[in-house]
Amino acid sequence: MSVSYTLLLSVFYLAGGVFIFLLGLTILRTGSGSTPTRATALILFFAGVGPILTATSIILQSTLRQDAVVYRPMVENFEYLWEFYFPSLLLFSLTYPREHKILPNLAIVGLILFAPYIVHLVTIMAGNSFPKTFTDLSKSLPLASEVSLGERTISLRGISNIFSAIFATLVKLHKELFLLVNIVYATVALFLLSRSRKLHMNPRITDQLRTVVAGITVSIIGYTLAKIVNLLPGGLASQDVSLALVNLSLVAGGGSVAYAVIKQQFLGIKYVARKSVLYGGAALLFAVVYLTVVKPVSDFFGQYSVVSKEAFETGFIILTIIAFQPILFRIEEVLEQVLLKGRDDLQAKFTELGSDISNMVTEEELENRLQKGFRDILDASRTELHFDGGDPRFQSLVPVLERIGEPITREELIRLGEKGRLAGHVDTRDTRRNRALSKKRSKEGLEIAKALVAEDEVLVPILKDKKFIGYVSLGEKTYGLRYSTEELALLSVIANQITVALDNIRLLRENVDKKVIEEELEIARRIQSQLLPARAPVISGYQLSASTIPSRYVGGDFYDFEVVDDQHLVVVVADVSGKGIPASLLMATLHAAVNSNQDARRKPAAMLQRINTLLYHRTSAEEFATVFYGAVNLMTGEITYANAGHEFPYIVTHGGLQRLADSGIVLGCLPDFEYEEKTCWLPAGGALVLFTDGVTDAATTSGESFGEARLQQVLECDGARESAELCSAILDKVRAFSHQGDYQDDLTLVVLKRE
Amino acid sequence: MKIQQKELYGAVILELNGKLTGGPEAETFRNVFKALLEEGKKNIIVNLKKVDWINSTGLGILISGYTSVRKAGGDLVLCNVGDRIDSILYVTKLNLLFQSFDSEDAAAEHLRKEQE
Repeated sequence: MSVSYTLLLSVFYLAGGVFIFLLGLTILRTGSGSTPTRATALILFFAGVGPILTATSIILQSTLRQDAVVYRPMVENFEYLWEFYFPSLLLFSLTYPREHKILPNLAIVGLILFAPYIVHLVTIMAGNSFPKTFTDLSKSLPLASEVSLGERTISLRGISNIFSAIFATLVKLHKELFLLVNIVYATVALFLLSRSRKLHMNPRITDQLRTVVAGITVSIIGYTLAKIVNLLPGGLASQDVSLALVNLSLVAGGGSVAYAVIKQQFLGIKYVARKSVLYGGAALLFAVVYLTVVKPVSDFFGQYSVVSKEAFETGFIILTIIAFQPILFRIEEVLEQVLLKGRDDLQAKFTELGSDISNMVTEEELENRLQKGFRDILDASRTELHFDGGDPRFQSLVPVLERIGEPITREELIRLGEKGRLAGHVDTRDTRRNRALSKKRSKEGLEIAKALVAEDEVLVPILKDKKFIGYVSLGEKTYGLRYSTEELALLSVIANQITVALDNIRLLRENVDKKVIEEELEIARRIQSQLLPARAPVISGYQLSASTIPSRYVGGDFYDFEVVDDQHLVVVVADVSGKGIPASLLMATLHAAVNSNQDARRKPAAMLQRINTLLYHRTSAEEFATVFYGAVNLMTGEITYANAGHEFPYIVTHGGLQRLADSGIVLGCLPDFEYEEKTCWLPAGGALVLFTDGVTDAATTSGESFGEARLQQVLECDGARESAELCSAILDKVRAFSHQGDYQDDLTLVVLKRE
Repeated sequence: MKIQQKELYGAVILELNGKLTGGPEAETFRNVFKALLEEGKKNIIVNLKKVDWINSTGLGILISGYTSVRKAGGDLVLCNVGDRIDSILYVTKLNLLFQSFDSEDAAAEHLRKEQE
């Protein structure tokens, strides 16, 4: 073999091997760190080791002639390292496109897969060194040394030789037969991947799997052929062909896997290729400089012993290591400037779009930004954001889109339909009927798909917790180009970001809504507080206390008192229907009605009648009010009152509790209702207790309410106390009972005590 | 609150389930009333068997429903009213508006007679 041919061949192998090896390294460094990525890196490492070792072995054989004896065993020992390619391939097939369910622990499975190869490597290494040891041993034995075994005598050297031969044969046999293990591993991997291809719905993944399956098939055929050629007579030439075939199979298998993983894992394919070309090129440059310049020069100087050969070569390597990084960096910069004018980095633009859409406040804004983004980045003629409530027919495609979970082109969708896979949720494993139904549904699915996506080039499903919440449809590209695999992969990333953006928009809106409600409630609270008397009038012989706790929602509790003509005290407690602003406005109406009817101030029934008529005509049918209206004669303690559906008040005396249980219908429902006027008497030491249903309805978190019985208990217990004390005793009990929970309704208490 | 709708002797029975208070459910209830009146169905029985609580908004809706069916020449009655709601109806005297029956049949029978 001529030196130049050897050089060329070895450089070719070296560059190829280094390229694949570095591709593995790049994938490992820039990839997602997922198991398939790591398995791919392993495959590529070992696939790269093959050609690199071949190249090294060729170089050592030809250039180091006499030293080869020293280095060869070392090379031979590691020659089998590349065979780890096969278990890596099997490991990959278990993790791609998704990790196999049956695997409980991938690390242990990986170890088991690699174990035979570790034993294999150790055996080969032992096989390479032991026969030599045996030969040395037998040579050292004296020819005459014998062992007597009964009547026979056996030469020790003979025994040693026999052992040596048996061992050598075993190792040789092992070497030859291990190829079967390799083929079995690769075939199992091929089987698993073909099965995944059938199981997977996503057309892009099945495409990628097809590439991998094709690559591995070529790999297996190449490897088998290489072994067959090796068995044929033909000496060195057949060995060269065999080597070439092995390397071809490694490149085919490794390359196809790298292609698939790069596509699936969303690495910028251009970026990875660029890096690998760069690393490969740099390595090639390094090898070429070494072989063509450094080596001859060092040989030349070595002849004349000017500088020792080792020192020269070490110097070159150190220099290279120091200079390598900056030079590589410079080359990369230049390459980027030359090859990537305008830095069209798709990923960067998608990242920008992704971060932009997370700041959108409304769906319209989101859609506009997507439209602009996809027009600029992808040349999409049209972008639409669809949510539930679109074309109802689309619902039949939802299960399919949910299962695929990734952007799908119209072409791919229709292809799925033609294969009968747009049937939605029909269990095809079961009966014939189900299969027939599936067929029918699938046909419908295809028709629907054709009709609905006629204008759309790509559908990007938007899923939340794997559930379909909407989709983005993209129109044709402006220049009639197809959407590339990389673009579709990036669209799937954007789809996830759209989910997040939609969540943000919803949360924001809820917050805004909440704020509006809170502002409204604040207004309602202000109206209410302005309508209530600032303080109770001071009346000799009486104590008057009032207390109200507005609920979170601001109900419509209202109370009022006024001393009229120095002799009468008017006490009003009311509760209007509803909550918030409407309740407050109704309350204001009531307040105005009570205060504008000066003539009827001391005539409760007449007052209620007038207000009833007013509310009936002025407010909606849903609005009403309950009102207790009382006029107390301060001299006698006689109370004249009328009640329009309000909680019956209590009169607490030493003798016990009296209920004022007469009432008419709530105000605002029946226009001509006649309210009855009643009288009762408040004795000295007695108290009139008025309240709203907020008091008795105050509930614990489990829903139990305070109730009349508990109120009566407090009244019996604390009824003799001063009005303010009684008031706070009741409220304290209510608070303690309901654990200060959110009151659904306002709580109002008015206590009039006669001294 | 859930609303189930069925018909008996020409009357529509609305079976409510849950709390009859304000909020989005109240809106649904209003819409059901509206739709029934538009269809010309004006004899309505509200079954409160599964309603354990009613507040002023809920009462307002019933009153408004009552008012509108009365204007249309129909009637709204209640049936299976629980103790708690019954006492509210008693205090507010809304029992003067709403007639209340022990069963759907009795309510339907009453409405049928009323129509004659």
